[in-house]
Amino acid sequence: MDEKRLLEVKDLKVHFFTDDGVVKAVDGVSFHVNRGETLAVVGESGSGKSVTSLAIMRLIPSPPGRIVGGEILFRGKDGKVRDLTKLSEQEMRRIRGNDIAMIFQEPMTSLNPVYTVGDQIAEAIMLHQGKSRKEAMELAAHMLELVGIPEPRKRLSNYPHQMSGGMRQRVMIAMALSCNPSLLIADEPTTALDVTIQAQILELMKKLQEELGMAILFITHNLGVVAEMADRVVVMYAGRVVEQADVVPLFQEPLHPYTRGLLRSVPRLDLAAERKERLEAIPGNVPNPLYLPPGCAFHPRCKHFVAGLCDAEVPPLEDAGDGRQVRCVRWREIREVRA
Amino acid sequence: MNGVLLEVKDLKKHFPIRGGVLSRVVGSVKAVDGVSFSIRKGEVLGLVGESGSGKTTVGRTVLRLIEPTGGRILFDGQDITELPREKLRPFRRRMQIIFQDPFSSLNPRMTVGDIIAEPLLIHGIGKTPKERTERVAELLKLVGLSPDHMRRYPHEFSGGQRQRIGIARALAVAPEFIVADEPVSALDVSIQAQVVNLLQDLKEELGLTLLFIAHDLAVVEYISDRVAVMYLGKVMELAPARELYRNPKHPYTEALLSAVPIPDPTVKRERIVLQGDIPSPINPPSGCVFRTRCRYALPECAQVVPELKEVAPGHYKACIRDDIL
Repeated sequence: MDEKRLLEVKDLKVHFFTDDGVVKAVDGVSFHVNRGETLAVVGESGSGKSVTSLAIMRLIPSPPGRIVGGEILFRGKDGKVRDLTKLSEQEMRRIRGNDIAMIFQEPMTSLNPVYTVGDQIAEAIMLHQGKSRKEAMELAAHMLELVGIPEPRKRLSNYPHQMSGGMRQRVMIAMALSCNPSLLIADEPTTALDVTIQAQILELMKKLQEELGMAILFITHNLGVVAEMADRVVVMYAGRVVEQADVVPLFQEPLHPYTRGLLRSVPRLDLAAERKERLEAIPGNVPNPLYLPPGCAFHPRCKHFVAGLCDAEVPPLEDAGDGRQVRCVRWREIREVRA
Repeated sequence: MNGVLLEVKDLKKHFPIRGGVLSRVVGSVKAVDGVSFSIRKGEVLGLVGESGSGKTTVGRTVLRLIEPTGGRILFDGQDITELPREKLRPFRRRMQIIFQDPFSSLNPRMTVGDIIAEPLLIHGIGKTPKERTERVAELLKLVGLSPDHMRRYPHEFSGGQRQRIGIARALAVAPEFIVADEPVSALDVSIQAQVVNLLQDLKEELGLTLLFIAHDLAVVEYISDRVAVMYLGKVMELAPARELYRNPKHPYTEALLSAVPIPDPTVKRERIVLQGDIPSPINPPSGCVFRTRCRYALPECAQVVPELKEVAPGHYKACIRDDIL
């Protein structure tokens, strides 16, 4: 693995074996995360973005789910590269929290309601760093201060229900960062929050990344948040990567019709003056993962669809220059027509 | 200019908090605390605010789905604030609601046809089953679904399609006024635009008047003629949509707009990050409720509750400071 790389996911396949059939939630996904950078994974429901992040943490509920193929290469703090799919549960437990930490969308359900927040942060520190309870509590207070919670020492004895949503997400971040991980996976961390609180949490994450230098794998559906946070972007649709690029080129010239459609369908406050009469919606529905369309999964909703071409086989993920990748058989033609 | 369809004057909704063995009232949540606005026929009024601002309570109170504590609600010139149930029914037919969650707002045991026909039965529209079926088919086509969908159940549909079913149900009785309470928040990004476009088309086609409640400022700006911004049960600012977004006069609106992430990585701007959380509506700050998070606050802001006053034609704000923004 390249020296710069912290994580490399190669041809990952995660399938769910349900009574109704096999759901190929993640079907051959590849991407990498460099040290200290922020990679955003964007997608709608059923795109496989959350399942991908759970697979990296080896937290896929099994049964019905299983990693059925691919590799997840991760460079540990000790410099060794391991394939996370091959680790035992015990080895994996050392990676979780220590090397890779995760925060979730709903900070209420991911905190234990019957323990104080101090106990919960200290537990992780004692477990991973072998510190005494007193030392761990000291560090927990320091972490709360770091994430901008006023009166951190007093807050240690608070229960989660005594805090607001924004405060709870700060606690989750404090807990996740308490063991100084090199990768933070954030799965829709601001989706449940109000916009003024979301702004606080995004600012906090940027500040902490500057100070602590961890890489962030940011899972979201919000394109505004992507533009604000990401260095690079992976766009997923129906279990596959459809486009991958640095953040500026992706927003300036999206190559995949789905990416382009997504960007055009959101109303924008900053363009209110030049707005059109109607939003450019993507027609149709997000496909049912049990019955994915043949060929390119986006073809039934795509205005560039050509029968016999797009529905024949799954298009390969092609290199499009400048480190970009796109999964569309017609991307060159479409780009020329636009130019 | 068209006439006013809905007028709300000094609307209040306080939810009692009970405590102790005797469940005595020990306090109250001032969910809505003195809200006034009017909506003209054919107009879309957007209502934005964060959680706890009272926007949903306003929507339900104007329909009398919950009873107001104080104030007046006038629909088409008639005071409906204290109308008894039977007298309210003819008005109910003229006003409907669309809910946020297309999963919990449709009965899973009823077919789509029965769901849409239910309001017809309640209001005695369509005498025979055949007439009702025809009306349901017509409604399904109107919202972009197929009459064949009538015999299916809600679980067979995606989120966007379910929201269309909810819209068809609201339109069944041919209402004049619709409260749309976060109608696109639960939908995928690529589906939101479809539903926003549908609402806009229906509004044009049927001449609907809408109260559009949402926390997504961009969506509200897009669909609304005028927008009211709420915070802790009060209206902070009310103005024509573009004017409000281009030229916010209230410090809260200013901060709210600057908090929205713009989907363009090349746009760099100064962001106003509000400190702290929204205070509890049980014990709101004295004077201006926003002053605890306001960067322009003066000692006087704690003394008086600012009136919503006109600062430019059609542009109202509730703030004592005229020297800012």
